[in-house]
Amino acid sequence: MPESKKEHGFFHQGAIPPEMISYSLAKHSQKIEIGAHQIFLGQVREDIKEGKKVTAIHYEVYRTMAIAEMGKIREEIIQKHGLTCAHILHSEGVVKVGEICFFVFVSSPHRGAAMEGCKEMVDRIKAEVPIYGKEILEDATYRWKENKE
Amino acid sequence: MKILLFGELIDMTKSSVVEIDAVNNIDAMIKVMNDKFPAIHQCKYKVAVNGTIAQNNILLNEDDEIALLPPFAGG
Repeated sequence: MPESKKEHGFFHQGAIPPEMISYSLAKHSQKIEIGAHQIFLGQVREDIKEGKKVTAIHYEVYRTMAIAEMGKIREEIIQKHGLTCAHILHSEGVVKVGEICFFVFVSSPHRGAAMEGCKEMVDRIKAEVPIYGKEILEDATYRWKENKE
Repeated sequence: MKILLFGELIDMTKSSVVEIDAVNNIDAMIKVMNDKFPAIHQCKYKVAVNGTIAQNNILLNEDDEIALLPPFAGG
């Protein structure tokens, strides 16, 4: 399976296939200094907005800034927690409810660093990276999603 | 100078890039944008200059990449 992250830096067109996640996990069996993995998976939820069901989110990204910010966040958290490695993948384009839109995968020799590093990475990406999402509603109208501060 | 727009600002201006006459600081740029698109006046957004969020009224060069960024929605 091609490693799409290298192709376009942290972004994947459409939903992230579960096979990509298991493939990524399998590759880590070679890194035998790792003792703990922590994985976060974001899934598009069927929220009710303005009385209508959300059917999908259409993600749009300010690419140059988003890639730079993700790279900076990743490096800072690897250094801070002494992580062995960290991988980030976020969807661009349309992701339907029930599909995966965000994948953060952090590994370290011991569990504390992996668990804390993963949470910090997820929180910072949501707060600091210019990603936008149109929530597509069941009547084909949309509203702009906004993360809570 | 070019101003990149994102999120609901695209809907309000019907454009993802707006060209305005050059101005030399952020407050002046915001005034020009508010005059041109009164609807964005009530919008919440930050200004990024060359990929960094500006914390105050910094000076602008004509070739800076300026972006108006409403609240983020990743994840």
